[in-house]
Amino acid sequence: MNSPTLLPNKTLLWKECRNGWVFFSLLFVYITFVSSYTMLTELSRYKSALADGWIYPIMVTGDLLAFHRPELGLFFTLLVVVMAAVMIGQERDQGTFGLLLAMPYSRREVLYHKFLLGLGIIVVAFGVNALVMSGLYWGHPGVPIPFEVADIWAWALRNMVVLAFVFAFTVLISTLSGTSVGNGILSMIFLFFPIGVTGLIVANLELWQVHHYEITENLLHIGTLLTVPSYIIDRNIIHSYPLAYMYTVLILITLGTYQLAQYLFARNPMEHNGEVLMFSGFEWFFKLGVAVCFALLVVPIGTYRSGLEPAVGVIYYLVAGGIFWVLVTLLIKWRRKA
Amino acid sequence: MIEITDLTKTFGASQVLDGVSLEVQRGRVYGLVGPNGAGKTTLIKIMMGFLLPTGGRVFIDGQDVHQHPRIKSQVGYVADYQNYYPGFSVNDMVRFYRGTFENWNEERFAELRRVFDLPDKRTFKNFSKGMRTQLALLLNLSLMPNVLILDEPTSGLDPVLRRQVLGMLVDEVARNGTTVFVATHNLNELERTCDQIGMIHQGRILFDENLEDMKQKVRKIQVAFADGLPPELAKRPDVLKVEQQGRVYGIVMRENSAEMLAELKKHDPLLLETIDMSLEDIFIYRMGGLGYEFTDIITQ
Repeated sequence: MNSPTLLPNKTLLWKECRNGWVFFSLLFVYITFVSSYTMLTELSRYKSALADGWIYPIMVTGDLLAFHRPELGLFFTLLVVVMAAVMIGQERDQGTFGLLLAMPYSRREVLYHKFLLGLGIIVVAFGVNALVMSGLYWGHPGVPIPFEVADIWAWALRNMVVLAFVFAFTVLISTLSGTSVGNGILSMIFLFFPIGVTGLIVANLELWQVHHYEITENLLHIGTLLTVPSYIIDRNIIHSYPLAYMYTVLILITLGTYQLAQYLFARNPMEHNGEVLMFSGFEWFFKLGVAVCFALLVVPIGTYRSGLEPAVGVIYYLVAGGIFWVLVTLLIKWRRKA
Repeated sequence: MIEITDLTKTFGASQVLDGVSLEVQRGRVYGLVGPNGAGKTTLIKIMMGFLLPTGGRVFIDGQDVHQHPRIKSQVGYVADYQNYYPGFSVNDMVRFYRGTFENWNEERFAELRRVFDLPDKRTFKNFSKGMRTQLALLLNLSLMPNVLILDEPTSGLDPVLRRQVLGMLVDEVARNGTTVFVATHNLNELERTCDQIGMIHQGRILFDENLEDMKQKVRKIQVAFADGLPPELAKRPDVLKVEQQGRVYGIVMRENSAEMLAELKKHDPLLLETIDMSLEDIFIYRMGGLGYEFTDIITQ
């Protein structure tokens, strides 16, 4: 076995950049300038308001600054998921895994360079973003901006660490199976699974009028804590813990996830250019998960305020679960046929 | 040198390769023939390290392909249907290969570039099948491989280019001592280029022989007698088939043709000569001897 090296292969890295340069450039430009552009326009608005004799409301300025907006975190997550899913899925979609693996590159190297490029884009994009925003901050000394330069870098670092995990996780999902779209959807489902499933449990507890504030709060807290992308959607989640500890844990989990992806990719038989689902023996488990989740979602919505009897409720759950089990089975069959 | 030992591959419940073992010495051209679905492409994909085998190993120049992927820097590979990055131009692919393969040879590339008329800047998604194959040959011959693995290398090429490509392969072996492994349906191409031939059917190698030995083993003797062929000669166990046209008999026989010739001479034939058989004819009789009908296999 060749000894692994961390030094990147220039040709392989060039190939990765060349193959997806349009998408990567758009993503890079968006991440780099979305919040700095908002900051710039806000500063200009503030200045012109001052020049017109208006007192511009600082709090509004603060709220409008992009890096405080929760939907931006969600959007960054989505972008990084798409980037990772496309990096792997595109090779399958184009049928080029065969070409790459027929070359003197190991599977480890192929995945390593994708990982390297993805992390590079995330780190450089947020680094440049923070640099531009810091420049804007220092360039407007008279403006009462409601945050410090340190806040900007803390925000950038938080995004880098969280999105690195999101990237590694999507790579892990993508190494196992599927097309770009399939990888993306599956990754988003699993990334938001903890908060989703705890939310469903709480909703069902409320349906059955189990009001226990502590249990509900703890469930939701654990769910949020296990949903890593939520750290960049609501910064309070991560800030209620020692940051150094949280970041160390996140980085370790990211590296572990990447190693797991490497391990599984090296063992992927790659039939049909890698489209074969590994662990197909666990298909029943995934189907069960979908059936249970959808039953937990549909029953509270369908029976809202209907004063359901427990015995009838159990039947509802079983029927809803059964319907979704059948639907997922049919969907898988249809997909395989296609 | 290529060495394959006891290779097996299963896709779910179906066994695609079943204990394939073969060896190709350096500087030899090995032709693998078999019908669609016999396992040729799967075997090649495993040889190239793309698919993982269920069992067995593939060695190229003494190194396990799956354990030591670096050995593939010495291996050229032309797939049946070549997939390159759709947005890449010929120049991009050349850059990719040049950076990947340490033995890339600019002179050889320039020489081959004159043979293959490919547009430098057109992206790969606009290439026809023939152009894809030409690009694959251009790239893989330019990397000066020790081993060249080809899956239906002339499919999609016009007859002139097909002849040129076969000439190139022969030239490659003569100039560089390259070991060539070629899978094809086309027996005529194999006859012109191969030293050794293997037949694969339902994932198993039915036979694997030197082409010259094969030709020696099945001979056709044309003979004419004034009073017809002596019946005891037609019933010899080494006679595979007797064809008659008037007084002329065509006797297809397995090995020992010298002994048969001596026997025939004793009966004062009017005409006696040994005829070279085509590879296709040899296959028909060879397969018959193994209990298979060649025509059934090849037309599946």
